[in-house]
Amino acid sequence: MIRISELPINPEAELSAFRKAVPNAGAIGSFTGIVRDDGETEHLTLSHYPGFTERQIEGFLKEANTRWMLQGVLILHRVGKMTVGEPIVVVAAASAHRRDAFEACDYLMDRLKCDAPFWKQETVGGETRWIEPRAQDRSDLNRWSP
Amino acid sequence: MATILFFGRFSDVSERLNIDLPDRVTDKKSLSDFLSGEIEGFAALAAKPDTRISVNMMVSMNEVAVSNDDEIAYMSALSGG
Repeated sequence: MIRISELPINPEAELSAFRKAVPNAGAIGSFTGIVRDDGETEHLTLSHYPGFTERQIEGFLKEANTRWMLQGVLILHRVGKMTVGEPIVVVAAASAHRRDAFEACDYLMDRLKCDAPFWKQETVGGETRWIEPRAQDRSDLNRWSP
Repeated sequence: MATILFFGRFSDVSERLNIDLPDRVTDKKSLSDFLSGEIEGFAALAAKPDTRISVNMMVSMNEVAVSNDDEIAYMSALSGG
């Protein structure tokens, strides 16, 4: 399931519901991304291209399903304005065994960080600036290349 | 009437446009040239190597025809999720 919404994410409730949706899974790997408290950022604002962003993420999911034996995947992404401590993203992958779940979750986060059409602004000291892509994220994604 | 959307840094220079394309606009290149003359700051963003342009939610590195039936989106470098 893929969901992009301005509504706050409750990771515990979402992961509990996901677990019930994959009763035969032997492993669930999950990741929750949170607005980091760096002592400066007042809030983040994320935007996306409705319809297009979901389509791109569906492509990541299809790719993950060709690489690992997955019983289900959950991708929840927040957009709009959010403050320190709020969840931005939850990714979970269910499989029969742990390695597939771990790796699929890791892979999907790398794709989201590099290739998902999201644009992020941070507000510091009342001033807002765009956040540029990071070389480290691209380097992380390259781990999955043959 | 074509719909033109602007994401990321492009949203700093323009809001969504619903316009009748001039006859000289037939593809992505001529659309970008046209918008460069109409929108201050657009040309510099469009020239960046990480700019993506989609036509009806399809991104292609090749030239693509555009018409008044299309939704065209200009996207600056992705920040990631």
